[in-house]
Amino acid sequence: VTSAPRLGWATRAGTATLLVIYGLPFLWLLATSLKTDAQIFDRGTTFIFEPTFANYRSVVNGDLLSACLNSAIIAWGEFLYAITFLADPTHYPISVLIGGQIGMYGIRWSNMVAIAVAASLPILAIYAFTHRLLRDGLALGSVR
Amino acid sequence: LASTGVAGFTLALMVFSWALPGLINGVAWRFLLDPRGMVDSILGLLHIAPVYCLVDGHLPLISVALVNAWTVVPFATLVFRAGLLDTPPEILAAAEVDGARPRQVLRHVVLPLLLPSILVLGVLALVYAFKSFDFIYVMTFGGPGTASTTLPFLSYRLAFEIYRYSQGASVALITVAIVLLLALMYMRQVRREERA
Repeated sequence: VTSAPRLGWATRAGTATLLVIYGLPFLWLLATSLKTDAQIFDRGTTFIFEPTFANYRSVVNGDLLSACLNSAIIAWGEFLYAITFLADPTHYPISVLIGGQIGMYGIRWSNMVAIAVAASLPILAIYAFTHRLLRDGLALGSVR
Repeated sequence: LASTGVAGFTLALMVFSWALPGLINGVAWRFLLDPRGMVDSILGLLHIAPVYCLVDGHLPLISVALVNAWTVVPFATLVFRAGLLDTPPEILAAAEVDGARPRQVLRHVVLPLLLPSILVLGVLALVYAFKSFDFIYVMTFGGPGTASTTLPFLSYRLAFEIYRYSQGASVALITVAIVLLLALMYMRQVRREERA
């Protein structure tokens, strides 16, 4: 009984680590965009780029936010890592609840559709305010 | 067309469908294509024989593949849109002056210009298809039998359903090798584009 919470934290940390590894390509994209933008500014004749964090942030602000939003959406819809690595069902994300409505003898349609709608609402809320950034993030190469 | 409200709305709708978790998209499609779903119910009301997209013969695999292709559409649209907007207008004008018909312009001017993007997109779509676990899980669970079981899903079932870890790992490694090959092709094509 006493080891269960520790195991829960360990599996959650492990799953989070896997998601971070899964997101590494996005960090790579971000690093590439930093390099590219810095080089573009470096070539300018009227502006000398200083590699300070504030300058980097101002240059890549859009890309950074796009990458973060895409990563958040991926993490929200994560399913495979959750069912594979999370030991405690109380730690499952909402996507696993949807899959759990499919039983051996039938599907609880009303539950499944209700949970699907509930899971879509946060995406809709994010999307309502940031659809341009998401579109740019998708164009940046953030293929899920 | 790129700047019209209709195009913007369509693009926004498509990106929203992309942003939804795969499982939710899968639920929606299962709701439509299930033997007791909307499509077969409507066909029944019209006294037409049901299709049984998710249970009959090769149809489950085709259905899952089409749903997977449907989710790639937003990304493909963005890539093609960018490619079309980047097409130099003077080339299109020159083709028009030379008497080329719209179909000829598309075939001999636009498509060759879009070819690198098409190749990159093809590779990415293939890689994406290898990742389509959620759709299969919620729509067919690899069935009926193994009719719609893909390599990643087979790997999952072997390792975590019947606990044959070694076989599951072997299938996963084969999958990784194939995806790695595709990734190398993708990188080569991207480098070619950058050099051009």
